[in-house]
Amino acid sequence: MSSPSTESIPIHQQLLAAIGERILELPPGFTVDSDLYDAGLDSMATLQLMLLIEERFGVNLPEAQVTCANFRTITQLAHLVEKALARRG
Amino acid sequence: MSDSPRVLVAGGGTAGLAAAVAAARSGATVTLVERHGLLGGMGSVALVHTLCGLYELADDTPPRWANPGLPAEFATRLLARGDALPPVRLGRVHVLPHRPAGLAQAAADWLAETPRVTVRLLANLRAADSATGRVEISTPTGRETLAADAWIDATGDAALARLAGAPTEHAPPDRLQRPAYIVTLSGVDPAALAPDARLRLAAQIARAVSAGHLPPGAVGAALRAFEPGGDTFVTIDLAGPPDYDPTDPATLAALLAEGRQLAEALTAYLRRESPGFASAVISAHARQLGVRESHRVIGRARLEADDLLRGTTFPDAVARATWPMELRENHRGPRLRFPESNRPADIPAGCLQARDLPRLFAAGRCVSCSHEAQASIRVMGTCLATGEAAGRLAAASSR
Repeated sequence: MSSPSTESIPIHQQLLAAIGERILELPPGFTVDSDLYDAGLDSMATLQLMLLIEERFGVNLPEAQVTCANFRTITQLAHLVEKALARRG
Repeated sequence: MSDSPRVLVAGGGTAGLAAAVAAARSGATVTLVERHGLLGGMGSVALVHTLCGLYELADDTPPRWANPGLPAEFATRLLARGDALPPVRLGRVHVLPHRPAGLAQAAADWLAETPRVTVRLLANLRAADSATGRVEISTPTGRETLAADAWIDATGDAALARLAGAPTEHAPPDRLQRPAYIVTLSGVDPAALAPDARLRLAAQIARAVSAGHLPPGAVGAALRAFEPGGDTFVTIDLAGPPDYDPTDPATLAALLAEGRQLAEALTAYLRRESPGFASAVISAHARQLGVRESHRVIGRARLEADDLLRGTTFPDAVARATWPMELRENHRGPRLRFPESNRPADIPAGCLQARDLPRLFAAGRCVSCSHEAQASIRVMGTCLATGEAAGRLAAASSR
């Protein structure tokens, strides 16, 4: 899924766009630090988001990191993706 | 002949129940026709186990009723009987978890306590003549004709409208909301469905699908354990064929078979691979597919996505919609569109009145609206509200 054009876009911006397009229409003023659950993310959407991240960035999120708390903000998710990308090398 | 207008309600789901009660309380003599052997529709026959759309979108706790009439009355009855748990917050919305078998019995009692309501179970619609108001039904023992002054189509599929030749619409088959197949499991360790454990379980299922240990269709599975009574619900969204038609019996039969196979495969996998499920067994299969979208009556007005996003008000409002547009155009999970503010949107009377047949009213899933707007108004809390409104309108129209 990564191409030269998406690689130059910061991860959190890619996540923000992908969530808005595929999972949840985000309200105006929603930022990477806003609470996704308050915006309407439910448990089924959380799983969808995990699959979207794994597909888009070609990573596997370790089981221990798949927690409701870790999916609360895009900033937290971007950290998880960065760590997963670093592990992948 | 008495002065009481005769109202025929087609369909005994939440919309039809509220329509029958409202019409009878408005003075009508009501016959409700239901094709299954029990009342409740999606909320019992299909094992849908949460009433959505009952509450306003708000950050307040406790939540406020979106429609304080019959929707609140029926929900309060369920709570008093122990057939529903207090509302649960999921993301931005509140839902009322209920027990499907309890909802069916609560529905039967509700109608039995309402004077001038006759329920005909195991009765299929065969023909409808708008000129005379006659509707032919078939039962296991034969056919008969029912006469009525007004009709309410609460079939979810606009089945009565189509029989009567009234114009209807539906989204293209590839965009129709995908249906669900639901089973209950007993013997699941409740700890396996605590929030984080449940998310990991969903991830485990998704990965088992990727690895080929489960059929691809299992990726649409979601597990919930909040039925009063301790059963666990497994809801599997089905992709359906590209020409998916929720009124075609062959399609429905094939999807029921697919759902049954997926549920059995998933349960066997979980029993083997997930410690909390070692003694899980399927305790009930749905007897009907969880159809989300089908044909709709063309009304005098049409509710649009913008009305829901903006919380439009109408002078002839008869009900309020509060559920987000929950688009399930594929089987991998919903995409949600919430209103711009938390304001409910009005549903005008014109959406419940058939454009060309003055004595035909629509309630529930088949009221007049766009594909996107339907993704909000289809939920059972809103169906109770449009049912109540259609019941009143139908009783008044034939006076």
